[in-house]
Amino acid sequence: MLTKDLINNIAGQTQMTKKRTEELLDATTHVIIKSLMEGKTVQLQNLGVLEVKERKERTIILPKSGERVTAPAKRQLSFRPTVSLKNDLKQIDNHD
Amino acid sequence: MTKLNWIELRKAVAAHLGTSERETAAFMNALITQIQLGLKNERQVRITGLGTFRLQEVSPRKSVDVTTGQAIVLPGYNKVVFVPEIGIKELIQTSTPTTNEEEDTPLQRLGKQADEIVAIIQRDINTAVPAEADSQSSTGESSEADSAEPVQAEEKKTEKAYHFVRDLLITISVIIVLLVGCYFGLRTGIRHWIDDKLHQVEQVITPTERQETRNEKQETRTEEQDTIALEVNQVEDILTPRVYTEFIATETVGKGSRLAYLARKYYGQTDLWVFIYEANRDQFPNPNDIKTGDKLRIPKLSTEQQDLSNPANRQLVDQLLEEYTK
Repeated sequence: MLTKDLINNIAGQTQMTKKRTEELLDATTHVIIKSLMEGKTVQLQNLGVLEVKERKERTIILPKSGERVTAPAKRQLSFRPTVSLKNDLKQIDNHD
Repeated sequence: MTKLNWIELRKAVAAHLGTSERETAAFMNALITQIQLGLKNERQVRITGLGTFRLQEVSPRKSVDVTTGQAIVLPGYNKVVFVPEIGIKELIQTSTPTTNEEEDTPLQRLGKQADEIVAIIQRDINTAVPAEADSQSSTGESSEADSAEPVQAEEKKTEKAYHFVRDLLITISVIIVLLVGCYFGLRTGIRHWIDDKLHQVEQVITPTERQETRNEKQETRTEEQDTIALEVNQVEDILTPRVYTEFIATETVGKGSRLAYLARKYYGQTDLWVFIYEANRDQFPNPNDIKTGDKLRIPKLSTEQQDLSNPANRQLVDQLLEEYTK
């Protein structure tokens, strides 16, 4: 499902205009990303938790040359689904 | 790490867009249900400006039951993954989290305090002028106001003076702390520097002079330490080399042979090489610079000298080791 379909579906569910829905979606993503950049964990109810994880620097071996290189420390966005969502979707089989 | 929960998120979105919280709530609940439905029906939901939620298949795999040792097949399942958009990923990577106050270094904290003080003083200076102007302009008005206003102005003035004195005191104390810090820092720095210089000078002074200075030092010490005078005398002897008259052997230095080996061979103790070296010191200025073919005389040592369990002798040998391996 693409953003367009998502907006259509939400608009259908809430009886809002598509434009309004799009505005709200933009605002939501904006707030989420801003909070994440501030180092906050964002909780999405019944879906999961978005958080920024600190990855320490580590040595890696380049597969091409076999060279040892230090991969720099970085911050990575991670998503952890809620237990109920995880269990709900575990056994679904609907390949296109 | 702080957390932005569902309600806070809803409030933040409503505030950002200036919409009612009810509308936002309706939207966000719909958003979550639609994402869930999308995952269920289409296995993926893409949100522009954020990323993609996707259902990833984990295929079944073989494993072994730990308790029975039987081979079993773990069933496959789906897991929910979130892949951030490239731009968002980079944005997060380069972002720096807002630091908490506890994480500030003391100097940063001082800097912040100084900024705050400056802000307070500036505010006071700015408010001081309008307050006076107010009290002056109001004199022409009704008598009731006249009687009330000056009192307020008076109060403001005393408050202002109090604030000013307080801020001044804080500034002064901060400066004093900084100065004291600098003073101690510089003092230890200078002391280290002087120590270094002294050390260099000491190395320049010839051994006999050094001997004298050492003797002087020890004399001052012996006044207090009569009981260990004997030991101190021995320490004094260190740099006047013992005279060796009797030799038990003469050894030609072979390949791989070292002073320590010779010491073990003749005395049974490797550390006693210092005595061998001492006896041959006139020929070799450096114990590490003895070549194959050189001839070394092995001195005869008294039983006392060979006894390393005797603390006085142990100390002597240790000091010689230190002296010769400099």
